[in-house]
Amino acid sequence: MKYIAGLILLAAQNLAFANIESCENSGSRLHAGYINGMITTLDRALINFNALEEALDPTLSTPGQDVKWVLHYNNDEAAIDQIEQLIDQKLDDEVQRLYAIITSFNSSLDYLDPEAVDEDLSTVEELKQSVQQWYTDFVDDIEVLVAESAMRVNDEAWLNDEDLSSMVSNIKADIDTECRKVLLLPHSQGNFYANAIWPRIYGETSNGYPINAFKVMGQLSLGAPTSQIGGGLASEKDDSDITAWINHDDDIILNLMNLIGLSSLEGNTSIVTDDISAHGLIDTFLGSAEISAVVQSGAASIASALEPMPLARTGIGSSSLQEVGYNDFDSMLDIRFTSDGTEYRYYGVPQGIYNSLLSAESSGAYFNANIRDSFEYYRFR
Amino acid sequence: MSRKISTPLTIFTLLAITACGGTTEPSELPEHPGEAGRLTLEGIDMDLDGVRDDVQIHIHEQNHDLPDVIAPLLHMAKYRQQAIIDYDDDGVLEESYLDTHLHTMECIKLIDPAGYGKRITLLEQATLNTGERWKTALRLDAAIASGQAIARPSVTVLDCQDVMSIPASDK
Repeated sequence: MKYIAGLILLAAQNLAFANIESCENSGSRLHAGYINGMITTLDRALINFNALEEALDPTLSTPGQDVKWVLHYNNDEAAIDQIEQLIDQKLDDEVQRLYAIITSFNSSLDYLDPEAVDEDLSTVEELKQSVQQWYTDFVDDIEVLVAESAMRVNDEAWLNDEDLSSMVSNIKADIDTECRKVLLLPHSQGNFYANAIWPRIYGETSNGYPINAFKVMGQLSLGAPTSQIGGGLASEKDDSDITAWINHDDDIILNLMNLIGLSSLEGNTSIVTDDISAHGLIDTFLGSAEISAVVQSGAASIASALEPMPLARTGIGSSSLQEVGYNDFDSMLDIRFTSDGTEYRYYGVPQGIYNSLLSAESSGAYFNANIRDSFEYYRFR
Repeated sequence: MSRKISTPLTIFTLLAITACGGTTEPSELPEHPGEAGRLTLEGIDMDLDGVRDDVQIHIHEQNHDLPDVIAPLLHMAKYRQQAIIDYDDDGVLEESYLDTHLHTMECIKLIDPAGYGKRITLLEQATLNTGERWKTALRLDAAIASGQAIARPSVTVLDCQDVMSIPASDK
């Protein structure tokens, strides 16, 4: 009895962790992954993560779509080394100022106690004005931090980065076992990680299918210090509808990068922000209804352009169509043809067309008349 | 994904829990250590409640407008202080550290959804008030969470009972 119970448990475990071979026919699953920027403490990253989720979840959790929010936390050793060196060179009050500057880059100065930073400051407004001045005082230090971070994008050391491997494994598992689409939401230096994730996901297969045949992962970059985003899809596929960035024209980090000869993606918004760095995740990108709406719209647009990996299919006993699968959320139809085993995906197919295909006297004839030349398609096998 | 919980109901329930079991009344606060409290990584904890005295005073002073958040903030500070000491001693951390931290943060958020971010940031700022503490915290965060895929835990009011009483002193 014990033996049988053990077997049942083992089987249940295998079922629970087994890769699914195809995606469901109803609904959608999304992995929304925030990747924090450099020198962000865990608490700051968590607060940013919550703010991002609160701002975007109402837009992304549309009826039928289950959103799994994930913080891909990274706290890079090399960046910590850099900041440690800076801290060691500073007097106590300068350390407080550096802390305020870094906070303005990664989150929000509104949350800080001005007096704790400098006893002569009593309001957040005064703190902000002072931080603006301190940028000038600390410009050499900031330059070193930014340059170090930006230069490392091409560093071979990235290939062995444990944080990167962990992010890739987690995302890949969600694609393989939960059939999730992935929306990366990197901020600042997190964009280097996001860029490095692309080839490591799109260069893989999932349940036997090349991932780069499907727009399963997209990216909305915020405050991106990188020179590009995306890439890695099959050559016939364009990633322009699943990649976007929002950089503020006045972003102090990006402008500094450009000054020292490191090119970043250009600024594309000038919406007024009271964030003096124009780079902090909360103050710049979620700080006003206007810019928050731009972020929401960008995320929703990319999410709607993502597609699941191959769908669960049923045999329909046709001489020309061996199996068909349909997803009602994405309005996508997957077909495996009998003659040569090729597999195609048709986009934007209404549910009614799919139902009619199933009930047609001759599904092959119905397909030729109503689907073949009526919808955009892609051959994925 | 978003949990829709009525805030007044949440606070009422938490008050009820507090009334039944714990307390948010400050026991006698220790004397502020002043500059002496900044000299070492550990700082000074005269009342042996596991929270640095300057941080303990900060939490009470900064959060008197919403006394219910004081106990969970003290728990957060205590656990983090222990983690800093453990990490500084031998680099070994309790496996449950990250989960406990996330749990406590969610409880604070449950009590004050709009203001929890500022309260936790102010606590972080008060805690990391020297270069050594900031450096150690960055290393600690890297040790416990870097490379982790973190999801917010699902927390209900009843789950938060464990952080609704002021941490006891070992005196």
